[in-house]
Amino acid sequence: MPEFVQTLVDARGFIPHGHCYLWKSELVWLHVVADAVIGIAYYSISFLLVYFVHERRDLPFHWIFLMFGSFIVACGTTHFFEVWNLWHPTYWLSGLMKIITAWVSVGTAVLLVSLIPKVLAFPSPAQLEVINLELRNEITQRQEAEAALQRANEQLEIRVQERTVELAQINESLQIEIESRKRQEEVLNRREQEFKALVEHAPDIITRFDRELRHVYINPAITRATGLLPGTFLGKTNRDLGMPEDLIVSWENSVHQVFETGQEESLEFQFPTPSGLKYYQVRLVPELGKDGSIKSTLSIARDISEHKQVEEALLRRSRQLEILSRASHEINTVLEIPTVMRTMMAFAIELAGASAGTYGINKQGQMVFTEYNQNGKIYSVDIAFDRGMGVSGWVMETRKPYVSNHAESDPYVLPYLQKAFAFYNLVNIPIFNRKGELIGCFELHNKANQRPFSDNDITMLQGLAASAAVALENAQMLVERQQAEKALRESEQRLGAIFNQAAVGIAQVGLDGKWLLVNQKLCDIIGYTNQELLQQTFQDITHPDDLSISLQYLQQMIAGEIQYYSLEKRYICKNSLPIWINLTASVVQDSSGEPQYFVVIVEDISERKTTEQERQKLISVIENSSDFIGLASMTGEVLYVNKAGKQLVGLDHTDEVKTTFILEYLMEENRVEYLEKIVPVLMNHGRWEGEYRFRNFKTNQPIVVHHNCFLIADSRTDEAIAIATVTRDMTERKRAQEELQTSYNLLESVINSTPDAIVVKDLQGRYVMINAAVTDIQGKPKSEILGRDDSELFPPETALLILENDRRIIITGETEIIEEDLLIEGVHKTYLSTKSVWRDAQGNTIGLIIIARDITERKRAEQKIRELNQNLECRVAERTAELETINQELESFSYSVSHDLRAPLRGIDGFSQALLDRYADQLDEKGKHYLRRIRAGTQRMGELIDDLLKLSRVTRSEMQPTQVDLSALAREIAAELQRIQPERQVEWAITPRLVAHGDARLLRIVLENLFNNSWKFTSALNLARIKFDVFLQADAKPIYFVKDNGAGFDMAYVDKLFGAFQRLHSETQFPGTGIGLATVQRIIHRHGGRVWAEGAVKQGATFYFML
Amino acid sequence: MAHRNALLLVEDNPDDEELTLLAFEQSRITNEVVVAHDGVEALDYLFGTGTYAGRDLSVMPALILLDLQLPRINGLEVLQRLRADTRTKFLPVVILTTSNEQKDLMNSYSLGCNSYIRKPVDFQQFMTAVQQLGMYWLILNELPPI
Repeated sequence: MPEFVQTLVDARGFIPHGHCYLWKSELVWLHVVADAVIGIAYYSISFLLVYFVHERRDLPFHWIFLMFGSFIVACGTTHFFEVWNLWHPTYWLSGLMKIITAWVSVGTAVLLVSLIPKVLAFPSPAQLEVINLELRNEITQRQEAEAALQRANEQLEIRVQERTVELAQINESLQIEIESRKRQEEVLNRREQEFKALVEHAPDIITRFDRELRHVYINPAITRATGLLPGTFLGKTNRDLGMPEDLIVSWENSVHQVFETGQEESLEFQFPTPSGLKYYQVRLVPELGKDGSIKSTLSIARDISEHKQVEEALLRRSRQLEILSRASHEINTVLEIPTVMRTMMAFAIELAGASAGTYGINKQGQMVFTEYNQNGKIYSVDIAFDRGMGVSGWVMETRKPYVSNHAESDPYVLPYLQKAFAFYNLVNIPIFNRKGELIGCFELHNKANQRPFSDNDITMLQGLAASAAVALENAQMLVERQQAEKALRESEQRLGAIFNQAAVGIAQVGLDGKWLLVNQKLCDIIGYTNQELLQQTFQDITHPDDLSISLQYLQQMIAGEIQYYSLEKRYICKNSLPIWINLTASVVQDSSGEPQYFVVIVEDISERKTTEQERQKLISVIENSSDFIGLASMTGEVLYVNKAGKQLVGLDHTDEVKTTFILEYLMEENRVEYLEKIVPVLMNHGRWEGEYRFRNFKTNQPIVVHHNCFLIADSRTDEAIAIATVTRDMTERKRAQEELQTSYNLLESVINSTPDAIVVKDLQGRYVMINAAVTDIQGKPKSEILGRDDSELFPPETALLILENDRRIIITGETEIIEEDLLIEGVHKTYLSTKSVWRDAQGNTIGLIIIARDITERKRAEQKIRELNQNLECRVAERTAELETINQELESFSYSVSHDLRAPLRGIDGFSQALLDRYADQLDEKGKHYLRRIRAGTQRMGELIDDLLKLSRVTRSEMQPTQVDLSALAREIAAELQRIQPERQVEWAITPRLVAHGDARLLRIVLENLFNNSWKFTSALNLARIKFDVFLQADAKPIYFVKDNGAGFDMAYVDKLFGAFQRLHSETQFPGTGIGLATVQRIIHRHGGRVWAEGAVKQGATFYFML
Repeated sequence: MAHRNALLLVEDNPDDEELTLLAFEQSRITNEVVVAHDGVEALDYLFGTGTYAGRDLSVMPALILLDLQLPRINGLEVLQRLRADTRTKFLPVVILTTSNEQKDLMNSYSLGCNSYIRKPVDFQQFMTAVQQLGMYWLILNELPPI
């Protein structure tokens, strides 16, 4: 450290600052003075600043002033060091001083920077001025306020004094009030005591419940109600106390309700107490705490049992009245005494609310009980009380109701009855009728210890009894009336039954004969219905023959001459048949004796009448029967034999018959057998029938008979009383049967020998008869066919086919011959069946007779022929086609012939002629002759060609057959020929009206050719004869012919006549081409006919043709 | 129509042609005769076609003699065509042929020929026929005024 100080103050090495001023004194001093002044000034500023700060303690930021002072002191110091350094070059020290000055200055500057904003916030002097002004105003105001306050203080002082006086007065009155309060409190205490006493002694049960429903308080009334001390309840809920569950529930609900809603609640409940069932009405009231919440609920329960009882009694009475009214109504709607009593009983039970009841009826001084009603069920009892016996006896005697509410100990109640019916109390009500007579009573029982019967009950029950009494009387009356009505009805029914069911017809008839009333029997007898009969008079249905006598009787009765009459007469039944009746009629008169109507009794005696007639008829039938009819006693004595019988056995008289015995009618050798075999059957079965032999009394010859004997029984006892027989002579029948058999045998063998199947069927289609052929066909024995029908013998389709045919024949009754294709044993066969109906003797259809012939083979042959025919037709068609082709070829051939052959001919002829015409002068006769021959040749050639064409055309052209008048054609042709050569003498003989069927054009060609020929070949004659006629062949077919008397021909060449180009004469003799007859033949053949010729040289020729 | 007196002969057979012309000549029929040797030629002439193209069609023949058997187009067809054309449908056409087949007759008449003449083999007869034909058709017959 001393080193550092040493250094600082060490001025060695440095030159004093004065040197810089060259030690010029003025200059040195200048600097000395200036620096010293500055230093002194700076020190003084700093001193002043410190003083200011010291004096103005409240000056804000006073430290900045101290900072200013410090740095100014430092600055002053540096200036002093300048002075020092002029002579003492301690520059280190002056530098240190400067550094200190710099450090303080910088610190001040830095602080000043941070201080500037704060300093700026200071009010400016102007602002301060304003503030000052305001302050001054304020001061003024405050001075004023102070003055006012001063005044107020003064007033307050006054008022305080006044108040103090007041307070003193109040204090005084307070004192008084406190005293009165004390007195009130005392009163309140007293009242609470009184209130408590009230609650304690209140008749209502008052309870306070907390929120847990515990009894917080309960008044002593509970003890009166339950016998329990209030302490028993406290702190416990009703549940804890074991109250009945339903009570707890309703109670809890209500109390909870009060806690929740804060509203009052009320409820009613009943509660069994030692003194019986009590009814309580409870009000539940919420109790609020100081904070307004519900702290507890107060319950005030009032015993309303009495009120309830009254109410119930009223209700009960009203109900009873209602029951009574219903009972009165209902009882009076029933009309039978037991029902009245039973109804009344039921109502009485309901009315009194009893468990059982019974009613008694006064029967001759005894009260009789028959029914006991318990729980709606009726039990039968049988108890009778005499007067004075038991309760009913007491009632009978006193005629008063009797009530016993302690039946067990009641002296009037009969102990065994009490035990038997086990009732607790009873009431017995007498029933009186309007006359005051005791007619019955009823008694009600209560089985359990229930409500005792009250006076009211008795009143009500008496009312019921009165109602019942009226009903009983009514019922009684009704019973009597019903009995009377019933008696009347029965009487009427009896009469009606007599009327309606009488075995005779009964009717009431008016004086005019009109039916007024009729019974069924009468209707039955005459067959009319009741209504129909009432529309008529007896005259209408009386037989006309019996009418006058009936009317006569009627008049007599009306006149009073007779009272009744009886007559057998006839009525006409509805079916128009007469019926015999016996009529008994009587007249009914009124009190004055005037006739009113008739009563008639009609008896059907037709049976009697018929029986008589029938008997006569039967006897006649028996007597006239052709059979032996006889009757014998059980011991065998013959009593009767009819006429035919006598005749059969050769007895003459009835007297004779009566001496005979049954056995005598038999051949001697049969008698034992008859007794042993037939009589037992007859006796046991009442009948025997069979073939037997009688004998002729006269000849002793056996008679074959059909013997039918039987017993006749007594219709009442069913005991056999006679033996009868109806025996038929079989001699004739036997013979007839044999004959029939013979003829049948014949028939059968005929039938069986025929190869045709013969079948007879009945209407059901069953085979009744068949012949041997059928069994052969079917391959089955007869037994398997007879009785069956087709469906069993043939396959279904075949059977159906047969059935259809059979049916049709049965329906139409016509005999038919039918072809039937049948499938028999798998083989198809064709039968030609002749079917006709089979009729009985009366002509009724009873079946079908079928004769069937197997034509299978024939059919097969037919089929074959048909097939062959078809084949043939095919071949014909083929052939025809071939021929047609050939024909066509031929046609075109002949066509070209006609053209192409003729054309050159024409040239030859034409140019020959041209030569003859033009070059005649250059030709000699011979040349001309040759040319003429050429021409003749060509012309003939032309003709030949033409004829050939004609011939071919004949074959080709189509036939158009019609009715052709050949005579007319012939006449035309003849006329034409005559026209060409009129000079010729020809005698024509053309038969008129020869009409044929054929192609007119072709037939004309035929006739033309034939006539041309005749014309030609008769040309040499002076008189030619040409005839056209017809004659009939044996089969009536016409044969036409053309006959001439010309050149004729040699029959040796007749074959060549019809060939083409065949000629029998020279061209010069008779020109021609030889085509004509060939054409004729072709045409005739095309018509399917024939042509031929007859002739002789120079004797003419005849050409015949038939079509 | 002028010059209606010409004749059209349709004939292929030169013999027949010559004979026909001869027959005309001998029958003193002096009308101009145009000969067509087949159906085509005939139609060419009639309708001014083919070799006859440009022919004055106002000149139509007064009579056509038509053979049936013709090369190329036969007579029946020629007949049919000219009957179908208004210009020629009234022209008298006489079939002059060798055939007397019914079929030909029927066809010719049904197609509307005016006459059918079969050429006879005998020239005398042929000439007579031509003579009469010319007389009838060229002198006697009246034609419709077309």
